[in-house]
Amino acid sequence: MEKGDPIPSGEVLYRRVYKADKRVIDRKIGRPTSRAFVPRPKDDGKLSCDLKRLTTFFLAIQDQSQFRLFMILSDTVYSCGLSCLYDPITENIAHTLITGFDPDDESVPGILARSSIEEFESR
Amino acid sequence: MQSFLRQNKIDELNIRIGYQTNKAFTPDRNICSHRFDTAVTIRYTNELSSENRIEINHVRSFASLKENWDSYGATTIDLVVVEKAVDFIKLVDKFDVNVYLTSPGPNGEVMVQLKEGSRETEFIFYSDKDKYVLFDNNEFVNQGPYAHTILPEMIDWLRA
Repeated sequence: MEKGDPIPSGEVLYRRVYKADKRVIDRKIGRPTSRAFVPRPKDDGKLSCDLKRLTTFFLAIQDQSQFRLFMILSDTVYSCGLSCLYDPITENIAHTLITGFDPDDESVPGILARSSIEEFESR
Repeated sequence: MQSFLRQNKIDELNIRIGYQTNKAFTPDRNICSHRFDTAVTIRYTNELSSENRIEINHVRSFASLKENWDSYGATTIDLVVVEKAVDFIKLVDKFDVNVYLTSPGPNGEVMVQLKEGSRETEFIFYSDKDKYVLFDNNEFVNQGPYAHTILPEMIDWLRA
């Protein structure tokens, strides 16, 4: 797979979610809020993820004291009308970008958050 | 809209007798007299539910978030946006609804979520726009621009 290639259907993506103070985590059920799936201003409408099969839990989460790790399916991304592109960077060969967010469409972050499943350290 | 108000929740009841006075009312001085007229103001301002009070405090804490508060470049939350969300929670409280959660967004927005059973409504407040999104059983239902005039309809939908 090369940079810019679309991520195939059936792949699992990791999204790191900031957990400090549980500001973007539902304190009652532990699910991320929709705000955890909104691109940042500096990201130019793109959401960073990692391709699960090219990384590990520890590489993807980076810092367990600060983040939690959630999985979303590439199919869910495509069903929202978004694109999902392989975007390896020097420090992370699993880096993937979800693109195509419409800033006026507030439904997509909520859909992604509600379809996400938390990944835990395998024992 | 009145029918939605909590039975024992009367925000403001003004009874004025006689002619309007120019004299200012103060909270601790509800009865004012003037030389030729009398005015009586009775005001009951009920407290917010404890759940909504907690969420208001949570939202107000967003104003102190520094640039990059999520370590990924999130912007600060403008005080105007915080106060918009606080006003919304106060309004929701009048419908006897407790806010489910509040969450700051990376683009300076505040999200206020209501939930009744399987139904959820997200209200997202920015400095220049307000939006709502409806979900049922985690499935997207509808979205659109938010104005306070549609809140009764939103709450009806949540409770249906």
